[in-house]
Amino acid sequence: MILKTDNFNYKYSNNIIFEDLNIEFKTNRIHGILGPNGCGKTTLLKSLIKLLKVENNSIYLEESDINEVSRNFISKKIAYVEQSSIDIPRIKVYEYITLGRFLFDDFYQLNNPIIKKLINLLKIEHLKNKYMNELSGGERQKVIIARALAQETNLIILDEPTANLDPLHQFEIMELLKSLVIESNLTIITTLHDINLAYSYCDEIVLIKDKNIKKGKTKELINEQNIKQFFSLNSTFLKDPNSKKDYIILNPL
Amino acid sequence: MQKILKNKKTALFIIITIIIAITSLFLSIAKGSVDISIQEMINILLNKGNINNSHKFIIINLRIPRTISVIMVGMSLSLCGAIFQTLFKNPLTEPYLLGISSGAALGVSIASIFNLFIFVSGIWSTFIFAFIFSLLSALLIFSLAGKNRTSLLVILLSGLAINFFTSSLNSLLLYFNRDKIQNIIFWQMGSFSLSSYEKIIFTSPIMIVLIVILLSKSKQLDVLLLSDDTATSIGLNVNKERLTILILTTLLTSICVGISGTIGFIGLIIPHIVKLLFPLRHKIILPISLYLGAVFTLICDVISRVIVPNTEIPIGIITALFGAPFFIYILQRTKRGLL
Repeated sequence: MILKTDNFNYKYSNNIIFEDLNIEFKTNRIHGILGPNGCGKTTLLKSLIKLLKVENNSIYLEESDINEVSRNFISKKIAYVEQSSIDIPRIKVYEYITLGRFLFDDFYQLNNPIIKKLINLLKIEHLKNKYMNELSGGERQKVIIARALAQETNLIILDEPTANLDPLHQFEIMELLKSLVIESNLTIITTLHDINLAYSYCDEIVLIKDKNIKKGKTKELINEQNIKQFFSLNSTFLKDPNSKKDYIILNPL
Repeated sequence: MQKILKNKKTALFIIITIIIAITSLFLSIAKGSVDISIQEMINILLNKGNINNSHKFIIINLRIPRTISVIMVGMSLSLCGAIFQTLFKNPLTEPYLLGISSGAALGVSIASIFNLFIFVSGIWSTFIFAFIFSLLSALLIFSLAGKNRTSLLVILLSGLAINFFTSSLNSLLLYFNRDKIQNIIFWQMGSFSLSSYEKIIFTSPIMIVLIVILLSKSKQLDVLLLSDDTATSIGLNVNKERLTILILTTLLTSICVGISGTIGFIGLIIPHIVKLLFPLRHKIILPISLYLGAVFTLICDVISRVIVPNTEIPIGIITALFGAPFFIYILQRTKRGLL
């Protein structure tokens, strides 16, 4: 267990968003957080990395109360990828990825081997001299993930990493996250809108709606009843005869 | 830096700017209401050959302190502009356009007209007043713009509002104190004519310390290019760093205003050219902005002294003549999403 909430509460004005929320995020898997718009997914992510003020003893990072540890400690343990298209500076891809080395002595190192390795790993060699604002949505998202990986943390938290991407790039990003979990032993916590993507790629799921929370293994939790309860949709589960993969057809109630 | 020098175009650019820098340095010392030949100027500086004593007085006591002031102010305003554009994540911000300089000018007017002082009297007090009022302007703009400070419209309108407000208070003060305003008005349009060794000895060490500290913030400024949440998640204490850098930059701006009045657009033009030519990190952008800021201000100061014979035009007018079209050019590029 790398991160957990312990009777976590969050209020916005007088609205209770979360009440006595208990979730454990185990290592080396993809955790998906799903729910309709405005249910508090981003609030939960930001609380987990202390970008929002949280009560004492309500969030634990590696057994330490997140309010008791320094920002540097958190930044060396958790990297964060915001929703796409927020504040993309006009700098080159290589320079952008290097910003993830802020807490390290090699921040200014030319031809940094760690950055080189990441560029190879994410297959973005051809982008490294381009400007961030020249990239397509999918390319940009890969580079942002590379910047997060440059922090060399064991846990990456992502907010809607597939939002605004075409289906091909959505799969590419999810495949990338899956490979990071398998090959680099990372833990991923991500919010997602697409139930099919979550069904295909997440090991565990947290469903959120109106203070109702359900958590568990993806295949057990994503079913017709829960989809109706949390997303107000009818669903049909089918199997693709070629890939043998399950997929879900969604329809309004 | 080695990587930059490898580029032929960049090397050529650096050679050309060095030639311009040396030429404008000589012209700055030699040209003015009294023209002194370059040869005589060199003789005076080396203290040999035929020397006209009045020319020697002009060069040693007027032109050299003026040139030093021009270099210090040019470097500082350019640096402040480069930093402001990162702090506000906005390509059209600089201390003058945001009304921070006019805040400082208001402080100077108040101190001068009412002979007020804080802790100490005289020149120190003028600078302290300039700093307090410019800091108030900066904090006001920051809070007015709030989370929308990356919005071009919000930041420009907030700056415009502060600029109008401080300028009108300033005008009101000057209107009711007409007997004292002649020097103040000329100085407020931007002028180095009141430069002196006394001011240089007092201000330069502080300016150099501020410049060095601000240069040491290059790494933090790089990360401040990101959104606040991302910068925080990477390990930067965003609010503390932003406030520290804002205070240091405002202090440097207010010292510049205390020396030469309000000179606009240097902090807009130079950092932009630098970023277009060297779109790299602050570690590179800031020192080049310092250097080119000094060169540009030297050129503008020479122009202000020679463009109309026997008359000195305030340098602020010259920089605005260059700056206003440049502002429109950047605005067009920004609208087209090129910046």
